[in-house]
Amino acid sequence: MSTETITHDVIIVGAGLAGTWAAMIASQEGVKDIGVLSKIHPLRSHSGAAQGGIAAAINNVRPVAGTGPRGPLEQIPAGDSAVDSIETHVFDTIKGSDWLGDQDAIEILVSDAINIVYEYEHMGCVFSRTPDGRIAQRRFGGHSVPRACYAADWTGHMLLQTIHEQALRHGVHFYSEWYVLDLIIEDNICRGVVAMDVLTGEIHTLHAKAVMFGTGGYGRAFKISTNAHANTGDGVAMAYNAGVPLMDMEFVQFHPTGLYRLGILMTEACRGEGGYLTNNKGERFMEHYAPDKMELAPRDLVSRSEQIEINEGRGIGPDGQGIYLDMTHLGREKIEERLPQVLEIAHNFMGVDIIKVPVPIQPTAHYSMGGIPTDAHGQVIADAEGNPVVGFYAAGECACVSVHGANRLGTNSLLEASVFGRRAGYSIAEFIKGGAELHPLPSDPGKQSSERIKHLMDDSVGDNRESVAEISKAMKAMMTNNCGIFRDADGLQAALSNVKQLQNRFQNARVMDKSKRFNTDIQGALETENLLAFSEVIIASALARTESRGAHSRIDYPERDDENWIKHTIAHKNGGELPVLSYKDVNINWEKYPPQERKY
Amino acid sequence: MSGNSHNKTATLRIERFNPDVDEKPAFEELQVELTPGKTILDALLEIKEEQDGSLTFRRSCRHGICGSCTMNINGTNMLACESALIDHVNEDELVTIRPLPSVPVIKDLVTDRSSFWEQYQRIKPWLIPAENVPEKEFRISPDEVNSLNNAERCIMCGACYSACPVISIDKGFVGPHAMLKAFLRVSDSRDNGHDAHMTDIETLWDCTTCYMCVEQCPKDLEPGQVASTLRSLLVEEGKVPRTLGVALTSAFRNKNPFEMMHADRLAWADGLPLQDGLAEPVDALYFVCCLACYDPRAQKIAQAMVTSMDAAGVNLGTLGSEEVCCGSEMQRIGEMGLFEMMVEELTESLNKPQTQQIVTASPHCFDVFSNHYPDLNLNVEHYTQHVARLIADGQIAFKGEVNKRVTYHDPCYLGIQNNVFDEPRAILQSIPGIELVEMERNRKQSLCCGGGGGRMWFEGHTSGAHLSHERVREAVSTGAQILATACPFCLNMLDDAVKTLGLDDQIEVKDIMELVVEAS
Repeated sequence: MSTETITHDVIIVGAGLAGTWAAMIASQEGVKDIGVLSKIHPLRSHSGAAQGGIAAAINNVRPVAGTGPRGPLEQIPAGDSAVDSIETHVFDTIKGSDWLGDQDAIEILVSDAINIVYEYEHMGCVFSRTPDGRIAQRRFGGHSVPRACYAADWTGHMLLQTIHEQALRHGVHFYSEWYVLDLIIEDNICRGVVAMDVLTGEIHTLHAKAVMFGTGGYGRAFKISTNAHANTGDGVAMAYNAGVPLMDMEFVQFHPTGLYRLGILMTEACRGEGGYLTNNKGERFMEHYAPDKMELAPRDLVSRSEQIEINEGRGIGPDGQGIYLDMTHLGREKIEERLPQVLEIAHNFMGVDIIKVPVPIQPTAHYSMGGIPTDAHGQVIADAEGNPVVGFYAAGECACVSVHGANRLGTNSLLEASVFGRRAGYSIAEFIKGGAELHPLPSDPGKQSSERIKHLMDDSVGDNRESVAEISKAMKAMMTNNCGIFRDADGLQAALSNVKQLQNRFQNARVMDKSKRFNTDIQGALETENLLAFSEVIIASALARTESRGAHSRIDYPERDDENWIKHTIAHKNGGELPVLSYKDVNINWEKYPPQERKY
Repeated sequence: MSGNSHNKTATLRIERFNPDVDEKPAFEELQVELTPGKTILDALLEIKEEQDGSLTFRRSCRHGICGSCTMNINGTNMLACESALIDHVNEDELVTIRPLPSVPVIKDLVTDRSSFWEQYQRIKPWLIPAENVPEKEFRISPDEVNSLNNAERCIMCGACYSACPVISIDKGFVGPHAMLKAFLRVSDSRDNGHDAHMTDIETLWDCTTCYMCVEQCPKDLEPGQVASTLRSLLVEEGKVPRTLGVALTSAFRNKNPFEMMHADRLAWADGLPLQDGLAEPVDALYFVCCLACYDPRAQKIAQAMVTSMDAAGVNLGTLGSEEVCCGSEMQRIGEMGLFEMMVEELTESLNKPQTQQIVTASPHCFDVFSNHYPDLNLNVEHYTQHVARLIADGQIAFKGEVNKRVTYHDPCYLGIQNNVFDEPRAILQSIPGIELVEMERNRKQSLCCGGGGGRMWFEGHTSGAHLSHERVREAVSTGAQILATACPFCLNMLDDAVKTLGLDDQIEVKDIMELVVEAS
């Protein structure tokens, strides 16, 4: 396959909120030679699937006095005092992170939240409104006040459309349906990427002064997931294979309410608007686990509680693996106005009218807290000491700043992708304008990618041929069973040897489609190879962390261990061996936000 | 969602095509188990994983938000991910899956949507922010958000675009998706770029307001209606194509858009047993379309109606001198001021007679009375509904025969827009001798004749290609000798097309009412 080189000042991979913000800002700052590559059309990016809201302490609504934690909300009259503050949002996020989030980065996230929401609004985002015309807000899990700014339950869609269109306005050039295969880093300097134009099947080298990844999460490593088919963590795997470490990969969020068996997201706003969770006895079981916050406890806690109910025989459905999400007391008007998308989804996929009956749900792989380590400017770091990988940036779900620590709060992800995407855009612009160079490429950079593809199409393997789909299925089942909500040493050890076997089997995996044009079979195989690459890191990191913190729950180590484990896991690739783990300190303001017991 | 031990097998008849190796597209039949809850996307993924990895389609979110997996399923564009297989297989458990029509195929079910994105960019889809923004948010009332009619929820899936008949003949047309986005922007009080969005949008006059886009939108949005809203903005600025301006002026001055004398409106009924509904009680008020009043060919529809009702013993009357244009086309053209005035005037007249029953000759009048005359206290029917009921009740009996093969063209304003599909067919099937055959595109998939939304007076930018020509060719290909319809506009468009194409010796265009009288 031919290798043609394309040169830009900046290459951005991924066109969700993070990548698009970075592109728009860099362009606005005068860096005009930007190419944004996306394996699907930018507007198909998974940011658009986020439903419930984006957090910001803009103080537009408050609970009606005397109505309790689940009572109605009202707009705050002009002149009345605020209910929310940056400090409260910071503390909620730190507590949500189970003290693994870096507190300096969290302060940046939260301080920038207010102006980024207003910026979206000024750029045309269609938010829902309070009666007096301000941006409407609702309650969300783990947030102590109603601060989720929303657009019905279409929030991600609105933000993505808004920012994509503004990027077009600024002349950003998108390469739609270009699949990135390889990240080129030599001597700790990033030099570009290798990508396939999906339409033609041609391999191209893209040479750049700076590369940014906004490639999204890796929820597709699990059997039941809210994530799109596209969320295969390609960027995370490519960075890892290129020698960049991965941070805190053991922290995978399971969302409490994915549709039963399908995993399709039913937004947390279902509970934010007052929905209940019930078991097969009709009990609101959260009163046993989080008597104060009930269903609006953070996701790790709610998902664990559901899983305990299921494991102890109180689940619903033919296999007892489900839980009911009950919104029947909310009324038609509220559901149609605030939750139109979940109303439609439950109807289309479960045949359930949520206005009239509870909908079966289950905890579902949802969000990747871990990823490519960066500083608060989107600069990727190479090691626990924080040394930079020159010219390489990341933001959004593929990155780990870390603001979410061991567990992300709902509505902080749209926020993170936006805030750190924007910050990455500024630092990339500064880097380019500061005289960044085009460092020489290694010889034939596309060779390895071309050979991978050739290998996957080579039929000489004969009867030893393996099916990509079977390997992928086996891996996802294994990850769900052994590296899911509850984990222990035995299960993780077994998973580690299992993933190695699957990686070996993959050597004999072959695709059926041998054509060049729009070969999604090849793409699927390469995605599976990526899943296998970083899943090993999730397992190894989880095995090493002998405590329970946030979304990482070890049955054999049920307690949080602040003595030994307030630290980030840093995993480096080590040839074909298991990853080499090192640890990085968590930024904690010991005076202001020292670790506390985490109760809701 | 529960398991089923007696699962059947479904056949997916998929159009396959790789332009690098195949000469032309060909159907392939592939089987999967037909289990409850399985979506068409699930079935395609199963085939790809287990049977043929080269089967190619787009997909991502799998719950109807990303807009990737739009394809044509049994003739209608939809999202494969939210379409249950069991709902779309026929009695032989077969479903036909094709790539989106009207756009080039890249491979199998993957289409090249570049023209779609070009049109989207042409209207400058981004909000153009004000110079001075407030410190916090702009104040926007919940009512203003509601007035956007969810246009902001368009997922750019392309279902409307690929189903649009105008797009099928002219890729220069702005397209329903771009109209919807332009509407979103110009309706937003924060936007500072009205002219930027509206400058390159003059092809919106080509929209026939057939509402196929509305019919096929998987998110229940209304791009078709938006055409009229955007046009109204151009009307306010005086930017109306000249010939449409003439029609509007005539509607105002002459009470009809055809520049005819109001005094001659009832000339078609000379000597026919038609009452003055304002002067004496009648069984039903017949509302005659302007075209059927003045166009010699369309007059035959009205004349046939009167003859037939007389024979059936129905005492039919009109509004006499108070009958004026209903304003339907004025509304679709976007002359909202004129339309409102016409509604007010005509509502008063229509509420005068004793009868509660109004029967329209045209689907356009039927549509506007049913949906856009808020103060009309009458039961509105299209004549096909009225006549079908009289036939069923035995009030109309046929003595003669029409020994012809007939195909029926669904008028958009009757079918797609008001779901009247069965009554016209019931009438045709009750006429002795008629063999009714369907065109490939029928009922909800019908092809617009090209005459609505002001196109009766406006040639448009679609030079050379005509929807009416395509429709007539489709009718001829069924072997039908008569192309029947139930709309003066369709009759006019299709009749002209037959003559222009020189196909008069093969097919004849008739209104259903004419066939009823022929067989009486």
